Amino acid sequence: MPAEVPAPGPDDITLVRRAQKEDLAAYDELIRRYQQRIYATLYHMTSNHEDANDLTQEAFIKAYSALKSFKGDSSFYTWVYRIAVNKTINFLKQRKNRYAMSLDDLDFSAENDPDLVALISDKTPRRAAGLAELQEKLNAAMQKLSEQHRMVVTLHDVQGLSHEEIGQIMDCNVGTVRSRLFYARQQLQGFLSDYLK
Amino acid sequence: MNQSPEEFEKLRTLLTLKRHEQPPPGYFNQLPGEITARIEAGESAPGFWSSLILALTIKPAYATACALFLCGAIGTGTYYSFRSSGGQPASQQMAVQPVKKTTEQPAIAAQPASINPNVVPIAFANTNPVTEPKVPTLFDRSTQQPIVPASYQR
Repeated sequence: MPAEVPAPGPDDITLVRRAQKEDLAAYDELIRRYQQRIYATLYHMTSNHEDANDLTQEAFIKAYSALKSFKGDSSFYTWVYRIAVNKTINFLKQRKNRYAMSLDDLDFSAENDPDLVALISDKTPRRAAGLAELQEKLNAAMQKLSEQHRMVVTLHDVQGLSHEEIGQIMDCNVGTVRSRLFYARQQLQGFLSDYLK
Repeated sequence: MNQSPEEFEKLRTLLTLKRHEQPPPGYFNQLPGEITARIEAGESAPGFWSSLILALTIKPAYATACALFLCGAIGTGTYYSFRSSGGQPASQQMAVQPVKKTTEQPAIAAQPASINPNVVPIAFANTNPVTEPKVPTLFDRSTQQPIVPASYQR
């Protein structure tokens, strides 16, 4: 995830104060600022576009209904993330093994990423097919992790959040985050060993 | 499953593939509108229970605290129930209480009519449907009949 760049226009807390007075335009702006990161996290957790879409919408609607209780102790970003993450973990516990992947397409730049190309070049001569297969294997391996381990890998290794931010979002200490990350990577290495040799 | 630095680096590279997964074009232009439309339609109106559930969703620690509180309340209630009933829960005590036999006649009905024929038993004390209780009056004693239980009538 790219480094956090201050969004142009009013800052988050100003928008939150306006949204607390039922200014939907202000809340719309907050959604636009964070929708991509929230959606991406929920998509990586579910490996399903439709589920991620529903959960993103519900998370923002829940956040709006609870906005009056937002005191500003943490950033709006962390707060809304926490709602989305907990909602998703509850959803995944209910879903259990009844999941079907509905993967988003890879963007054009993936085919030109030299690191990724190097990973698959000796596996298949057809680059696009190789990436699609790799994407499927990677998502399947992610779905084998527990919800907590998958969340930590998603937030840290895919989204690029720091251990401290993840601790705040998942309501646990940094040591727990590191430990979960270690075990999650270890399991992923086992599941994807064919692609890591 | 060893975690060699080389394999770890490859895993990190592999995970970058997920950053290239993108939803359909234009998706993020529509999403805010869909969410605000649902909010305007009243989906965000918080009731008591939805507010409670939301609070528990945001902080799982609250959910744990609520669960512990409920367990404690149930445990305390059960303990005091045992104590007040001398070692048996109230519900069980009610369940094993023997039903009193109703073959005994009420004390007032067992009394022979000859002892005091003018005594009119209280209407509610006698459940015998044959007996027709009369309300005693001071002015019409001539019509007053001694009332005896049906079992004593020959």
